[in-house]
Amino acid sequence: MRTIRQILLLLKKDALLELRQKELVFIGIGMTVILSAMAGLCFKSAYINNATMTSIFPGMSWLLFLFCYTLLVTRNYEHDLEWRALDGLILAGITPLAIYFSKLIGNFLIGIILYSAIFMFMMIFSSAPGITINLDFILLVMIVVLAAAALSAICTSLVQHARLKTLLFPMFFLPLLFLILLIASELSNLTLINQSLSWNSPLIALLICMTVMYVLAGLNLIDYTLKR
Amino acid sequence: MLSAARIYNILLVTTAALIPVALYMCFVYAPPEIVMGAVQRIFYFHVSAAIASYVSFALLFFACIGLLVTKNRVYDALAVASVEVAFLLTSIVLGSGMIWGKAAWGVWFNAEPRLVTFLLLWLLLLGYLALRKFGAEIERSSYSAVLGVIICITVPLMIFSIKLLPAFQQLHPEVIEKGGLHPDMRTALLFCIIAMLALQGLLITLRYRIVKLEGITYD
Repeated sequence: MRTIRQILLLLKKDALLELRQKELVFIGIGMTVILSAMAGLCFKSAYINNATMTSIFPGMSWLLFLFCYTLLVTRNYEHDLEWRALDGLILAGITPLAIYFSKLIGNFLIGIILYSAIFMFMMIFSSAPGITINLDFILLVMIVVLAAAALSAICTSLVQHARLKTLLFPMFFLPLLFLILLIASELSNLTLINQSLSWNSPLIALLICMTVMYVLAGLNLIDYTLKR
Repeated sequence: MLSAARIYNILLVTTAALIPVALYMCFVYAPPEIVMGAVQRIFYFHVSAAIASYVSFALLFFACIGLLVTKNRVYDALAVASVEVAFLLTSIVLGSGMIWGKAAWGVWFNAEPRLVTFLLLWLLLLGYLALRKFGAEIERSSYSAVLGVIICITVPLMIFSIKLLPAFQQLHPEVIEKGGLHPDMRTALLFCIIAMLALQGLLITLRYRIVKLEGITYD
């Protein structure tokens, strides 16, 4: 109960900070529009017909999500390091577990909003026909974003003090997410275009297994990155 | 308990004895392959480097867990040594695979499960080395150990799962698994694997001793 209260407190703190400064909102929307427009328009040519555009749409949407998301979550601990606020939180009795969960939930919400925005803008700029959202796709997006959030919550803590964090973080975060991206792309093709996603598929089992694994890894390893 | 210096000396003598034998086995003893001819001999270096790199990953996992649990700097030195040798071995696997691929498939790189797996492993190791070099000075060994654990738990899933993805067609020859290797070739491969493992052990021990002397594991 105490941990849940701490998680909610930290979420409220991060939300208030973001609403006050609006850094993530501006950068997120800006990058989403820029990259979606570039992707949608760059692939519009006489040699790429609508059917091809539709078939590459899911993979491209996840690729753009990966880039934008990596940019946004690099700043996870930025405000916590100002005035040694993170040390203050730990000394005040906030557990590393609560900090990890608050970052995970925050990153999850950022990811969901980001992917929704990317999907919407890409639909506008690429005009790919035959894309239909269904409940299976929404559930798939939630699982993938949860995996990315779990991984980013622990990986961002590794670069919190690094001078080159914006360059360093993508170097190991992107390869770690590569497999999840491939699976997401494959399953998105099945559900968005072919409408034939089977929840008995080994890829779904693998995706869920990786998500659970990264959440558990984060829970067990966060102690080693936040202890001062 | 043997000291690092003694282990190094034993491995030096063993490797010095095994490498000429392994080279003789793969270039002279093993018969030429019917289809690919002399190009096929790269297989002995490619496969043995791949197996040795998996052993390095296992060592890395063991060292990272040891460091996080015991806080003993010995494990940190072992982790650094394992990663650098794993990086070298993975580079050998990729390079030799690409040379072999060019001869076999006509392209340097194909979207094939094992090649993609090793490319990802190489990228992950590069990320670890980048964190090691450019990460914060404080708590560097702990942060690296955490990343090492995450990398090592991702590796088996990566190896297993890429084969499930239909986009990646299995083009890699599976002669060993399907028992299609000539007995002489199998013997040569075994010698190469043992020699490569000995070389790996030698390099890890050497690098471990250098890291300890440099004292770079101290935060």
